[in-house]
Amino acid sequence: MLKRATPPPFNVPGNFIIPEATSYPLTNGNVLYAINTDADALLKIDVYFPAGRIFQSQASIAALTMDMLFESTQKRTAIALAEAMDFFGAYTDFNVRSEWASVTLYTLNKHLQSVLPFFIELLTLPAFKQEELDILIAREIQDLKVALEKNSVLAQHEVARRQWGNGHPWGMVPSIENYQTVSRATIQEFFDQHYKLAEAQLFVAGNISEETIKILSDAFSVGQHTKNTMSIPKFKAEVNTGEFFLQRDDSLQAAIKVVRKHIPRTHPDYNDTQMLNLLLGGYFGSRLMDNLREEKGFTYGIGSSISDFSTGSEWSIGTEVKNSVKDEAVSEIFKEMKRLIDEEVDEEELSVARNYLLGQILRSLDGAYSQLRYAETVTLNDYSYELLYRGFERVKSITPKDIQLVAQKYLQSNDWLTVVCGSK
Amino acid sequence: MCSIPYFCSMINFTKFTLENGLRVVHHLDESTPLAVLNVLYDVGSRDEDPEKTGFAHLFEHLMFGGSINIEDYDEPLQLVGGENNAFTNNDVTNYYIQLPADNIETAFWLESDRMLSLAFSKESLDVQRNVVSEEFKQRYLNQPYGDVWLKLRPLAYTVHPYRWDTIGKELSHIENASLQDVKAFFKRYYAPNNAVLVISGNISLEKAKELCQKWFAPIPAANVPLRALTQEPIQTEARSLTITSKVPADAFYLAFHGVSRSDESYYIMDLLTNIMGLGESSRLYYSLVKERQLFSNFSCYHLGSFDEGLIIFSGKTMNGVSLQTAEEAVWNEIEKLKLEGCKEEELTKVKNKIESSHIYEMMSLLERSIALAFAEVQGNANTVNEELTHFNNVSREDIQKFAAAYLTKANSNTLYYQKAN
Repeated sequence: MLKRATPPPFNVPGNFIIPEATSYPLTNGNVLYAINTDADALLKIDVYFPAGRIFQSQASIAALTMDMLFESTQKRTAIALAEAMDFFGAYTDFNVRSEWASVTLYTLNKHLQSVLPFFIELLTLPAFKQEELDILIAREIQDLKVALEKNSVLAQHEVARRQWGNGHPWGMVPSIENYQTVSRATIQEFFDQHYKLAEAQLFVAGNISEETIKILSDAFSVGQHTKNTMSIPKFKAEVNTGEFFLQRDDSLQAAIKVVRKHIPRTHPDYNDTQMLNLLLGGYFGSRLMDNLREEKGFTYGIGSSISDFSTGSEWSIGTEVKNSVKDEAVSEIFKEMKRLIDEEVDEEELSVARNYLLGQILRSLDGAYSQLRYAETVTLNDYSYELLYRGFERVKSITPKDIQLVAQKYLQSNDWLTVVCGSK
Repeated sequence: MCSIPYFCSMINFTKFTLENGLRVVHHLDESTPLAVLNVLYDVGSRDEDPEKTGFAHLFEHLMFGGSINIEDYDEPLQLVGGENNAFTNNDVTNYYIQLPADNIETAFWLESDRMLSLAFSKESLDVQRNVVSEEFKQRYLNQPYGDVWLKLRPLAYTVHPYRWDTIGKELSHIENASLQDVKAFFKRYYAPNNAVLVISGNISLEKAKELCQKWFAPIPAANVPLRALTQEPIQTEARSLTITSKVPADAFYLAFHGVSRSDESYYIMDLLTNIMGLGESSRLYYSLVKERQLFSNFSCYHLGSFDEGLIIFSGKTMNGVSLQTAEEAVWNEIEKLKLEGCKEEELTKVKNKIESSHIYEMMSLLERSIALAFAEVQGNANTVNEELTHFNNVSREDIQKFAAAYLTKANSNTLYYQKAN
């Protein structure tokens, strides 16, 4: 007789191997990092520049500079360039983060040689035409107007302003007035300083033959590579906590953000706070999700996450709730924090979170593109494989007491900033 | 290196059917330590009662509220390192689990129990009604342009159940759902003979068969009603609707009836929308956004529905550009395509883009599993391996003919979304 009420036996995933990238020196002194699999016909090439938002002296400059790379070059119009790359089925993508900015090329191996010259042209020879910049800005303003209709965006902007202050690059939020004062010269200058291909960090994943490496090495060996470190400008850190309310008439839902400045990835407490975050709001089985969605039905979802930058991280809880319950929702968030401070989590709750995270680690190591992400984390952030393995081990050994200790250190309500955007 | 990507991306699979009618597709991939169990139920919002819309999707939420023998669905799965999610569209409801291959039996245990019977708890229904109401607000009401599909669908469809969105026609349908409705829906549609099960990853065929026998074979088949949807009559006259709302910019939506997923012209329709609207070098993006600056963004795509779906042209206009000017410009491009067709390079370009995006998608075990389930529920899992050939066979003439037949005024539905002053 089949026992449907009894769960089948299972194994907890535990032995993780992070395939390390192979490094290939280029003739200009730079290095190409590669994750090779024999299966995937599609190559992913990531080029990282120290061109993130930390380097901008005016809001939106980092993002606009990146956008302008996809406009005309000194040799070709934007449409001719897009057509040339599209013709070979190539896809590009980009990401402007807090510190790094990256451009990605996806191409079939068989088209690499054809596509690469266009990709290099895009990275090195932007024309920065005034007319194209004007059009881009007009479009950005239009998109911003739509975004500013959303309570979650308004709350996020308020968080950035309060968390970092107007003098900090991360506290500079997009605004229509600001867009109208962006000049071509500022973009050109940002590009000249931060987009130097010889200094870029280069990564590739896929089915990589010697031929592939040769094609890539030839294309990326431009200029003379001198340094591999990023110098991050220092700013006076403002600490802003407390609760702030933004009024928006007729809101069906209110957006809530609860955030704090947090320790860097290399800090000894960091891994423990990742587990604490998971228990609090980091996955579907978390306390916040259980309480606000599954028990009370206040929201479609609530999440908590820690996002890293080189000198620290930001811990952020976000949700959108029925407007009438916004105050109760905020107090429930702090109540859940308090509970983690006051009481140890029980073994069972911890095992679920632990095993879930171990499964997630297993998934995060599957496939060449995922493995490339680990290689990038290690290389770009002066991190090490040893620290990664130590983090994996910590997931297995952490105890309820350890979690309570970091909860007492990092979940104190007066260290957190709360922004609510909705109707009174 | 593999010189024929079509061949490289071949997905090997084995099919078998259990005695209770459950169709099973097994796909072995030994290169991964993971496995996926995907259960697709052949029921979507098109199967709903017009007075009880949003039900298929609400039901998807209830599937996580505990089953007959297992109180909590998520926790036992998280305990074995797995994760899951689900989605509902107009055609189907799909549930998937990804987990370490070693622990695949946990997925069989969980999925088979909720196929056998739900717990039907009153509390779960109360909470999920609220959650879905908040989802309705977050995604459809509390967002600029969020209600577009609630307006565009009933404009384009007069009788076919595609006339309502998966979230439902209105909040009250969800708020009024009773436990009795829930039970009836389950009984009617959640049966082995109305589902496709895909097992993929590092699981042998023998193991897959053994686990299917153990967990799914004992579930009795049900009398699933034959689908008899009212087909949409051929549209003979242009329709339009103007909405005025508190939005920052005017928006323009133009929808045409296209072909069904199983129609041989489906691939033509797909390539046509790519030529018109995929990426920066597409016709409409280039001419309407970049060159003439009438729109701040523009897209052209189709909904990929199983029954005759919609082809959509849409964009937000730039400040100062009237909807009439914008509309005229879109129609000029459509007429140009009908008159001159597309260029050979344009067609090659979109075929090449489809090849690489297909290969990209099929790199993911989960995407492969879902693709197999979708293909099988429509009659043939092997469609996933035939798609690129179908795309390759499309000619310039096909594109031009399709445009002439479908992109007509009589077949058009225009939604003018105007900002309030």
